[in-house]
Amino acid sequence: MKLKGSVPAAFVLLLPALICLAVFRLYPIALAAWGSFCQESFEEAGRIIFVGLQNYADVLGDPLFWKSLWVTLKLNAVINPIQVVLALLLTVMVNQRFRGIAFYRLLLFVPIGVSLPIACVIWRLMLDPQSGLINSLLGQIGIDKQRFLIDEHQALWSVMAIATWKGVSFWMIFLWAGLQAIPSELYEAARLDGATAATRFFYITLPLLKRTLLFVLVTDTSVNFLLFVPMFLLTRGGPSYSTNVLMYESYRSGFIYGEMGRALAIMMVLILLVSITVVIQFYCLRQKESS
Amino acid sequence: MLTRLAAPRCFCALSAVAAVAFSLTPALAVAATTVRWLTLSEGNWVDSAKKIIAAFEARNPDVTVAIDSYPFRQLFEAIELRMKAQDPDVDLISVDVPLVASYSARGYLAALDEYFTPEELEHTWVAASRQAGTYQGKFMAAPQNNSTQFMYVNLSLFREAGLTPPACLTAGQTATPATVATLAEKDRWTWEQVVDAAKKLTKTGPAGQVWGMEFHQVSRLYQLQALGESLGARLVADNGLKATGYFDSEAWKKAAKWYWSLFNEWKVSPKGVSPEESPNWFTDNKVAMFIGGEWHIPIFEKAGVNFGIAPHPYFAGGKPVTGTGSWHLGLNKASRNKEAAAKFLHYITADEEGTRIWFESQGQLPATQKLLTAIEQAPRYAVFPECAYLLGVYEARHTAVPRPQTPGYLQLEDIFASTFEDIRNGSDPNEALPTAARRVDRFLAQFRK
Repeated sequence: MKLKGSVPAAFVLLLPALICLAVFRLYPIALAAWGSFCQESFEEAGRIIFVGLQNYADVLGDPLFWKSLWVTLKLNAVINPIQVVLALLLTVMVNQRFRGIAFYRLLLFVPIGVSLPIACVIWRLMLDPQSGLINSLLGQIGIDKQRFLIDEHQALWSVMAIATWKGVSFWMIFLWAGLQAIPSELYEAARLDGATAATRFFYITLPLLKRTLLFVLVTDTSVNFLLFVPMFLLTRGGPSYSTNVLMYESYRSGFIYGEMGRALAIMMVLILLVSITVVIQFYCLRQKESS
Repeated sequence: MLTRLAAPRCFCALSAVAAVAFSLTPALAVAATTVRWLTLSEGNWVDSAKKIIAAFEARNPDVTVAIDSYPFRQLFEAIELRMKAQDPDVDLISVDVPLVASYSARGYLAALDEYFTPEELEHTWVAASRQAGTYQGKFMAAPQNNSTQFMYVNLSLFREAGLTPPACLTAGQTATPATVATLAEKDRWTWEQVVDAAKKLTKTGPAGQVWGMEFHQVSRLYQLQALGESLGARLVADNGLKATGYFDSEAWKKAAKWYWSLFNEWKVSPKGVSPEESPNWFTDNKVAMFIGGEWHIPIFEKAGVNFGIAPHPYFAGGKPVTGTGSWHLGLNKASRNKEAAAKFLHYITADEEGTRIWFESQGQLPATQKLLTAIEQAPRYAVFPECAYLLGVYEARHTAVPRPQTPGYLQLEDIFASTFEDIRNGSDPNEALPTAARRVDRFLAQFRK
């Protein structure tokens, strides 16, 4: 009875969020889905024509789409585990109490205060093959100059490094909040029982942080599938399309080539890809939770 | 809280303010027409725009012009975004001339015929520029200027290296159309001569690294088209709908291999320098030969570089070819201020005073008949550096090759730039060009349907 009575109230409280979700998320996705079946007419300026699955057929028949898909998957297969594991390890580290910890915390959280575009510009200067700071430092230890962002074998890794530098500190905030919610009595009891630091981490911290970790993993994956700024500002999808992720290919189609139908078709594929990945992540972590 | 006495006073005061405000409204409404111009932010373009806007506003106090400027590549993206959204807050857009057809076909531009008299349309601009701004018989974009290409020579660096610079126009020199023609026909360097000299000029000195040569618009189609064209190769078929067999021809592969060698074999040009930064390398005496447009003259002069101006090089056994075509000005079809915008458009592209101010400030080869005639006849243009415009007029009439006429120019230009950027960074031209040509064809296929 009580539960029944609370349903309308809950609905009313959720309504603003649901309206925002519908207006700012679902409606644009529906528009994009419709747009992916349309093209601009070349015979009559400004006229939009329904072309069915033509855009999808064009996209799936384009080798560059498959290369972009591969780059997107490669980026995400590497960057998501690295970011989450690094964020978790650093969070556990900054959660310790010892002299000078505030300084380390400050250092680790500095990237949050730098916007991604500014971070990209700074990193571009530091990774400059001719006069960048990184090559100067490498030179000090006898390593030859690297080409970083202009080398097709190094560009994607450089982008991953920049995105990780920026992303890890952000995800640390959530994990740190999750850590604060774990009762300290559990650790004290474990210590009294003689549990080592590793045991406490694997048997207390990790299980009780699972929900936060799930949130971080899912959100991080979504963010990285849609990663765009470093490609836009640093590489423009190159060299040799080595950083041409689907997000950038969609942008290029829509806003450089003016082919919005193609851009939206790529975007729908990307949404599908993110959705499948997130469902798999939910499924895997829920399975472990229930077991 | 208002007292009984204060309330009527406040009411009176508010009434008085409102009365003054309402009395001013008509005046404000007249002065409120603001024309917004989506344009370029590179080089001295914005400064030139501000100068001509000031002159226009002095003559037309009822119109103000605001500029919304972007770097070269971002400008095309901003235009796509805002024109596709039919943004009424943009009134004028700078149109790169090969895109007139593309923008017109997609309904971005309003026809300009009604804003010019038939005589103006017929006689104001050189025929090629007017024709380039015309789509399906309608005048869609007015020529703002034309362009040409030179090879700028840093005379100090040549002297320090003990090398004889190419024959060129230099400080203190006067020229006539005849002497300039002789310079272009008899003394033009080949790319092979340029590379020979560049190898000797590239070195690390006390003032840092000096490079032999550099293109201004590194990897962009506008400037590199001349390489393939010099070897007799076109980029796309005559109908503009096929790139394979053209962009990946043996001649283009040879041109691309030469470009690759500049950066990767001979190492006479710096990598990682953007078109926005490249002129600074010349003004900082870090580059001995700079392939650039006539708009660099005021920039280099202002920077105090000891420079000469030589004709644009060509491949031995090939023919001299130079880039041409430049910015036109178009009227947004969705603009709310078409009349006011057209007034400014007319001023900057056709008016005698406006075109002169623009030319003198921007320094780009003009597209109007009157200014071209003035350049050939006025004594002022016989003296360096203004005499370089005589060379520009010669190139425009004898060696200029327009960019490809294709409805897929946006895709061609982007793919060309990324391909040549990859080649600059070490990709094999024999693999990169066929891939690029096939990719261009994929996009052109939609126009063949």
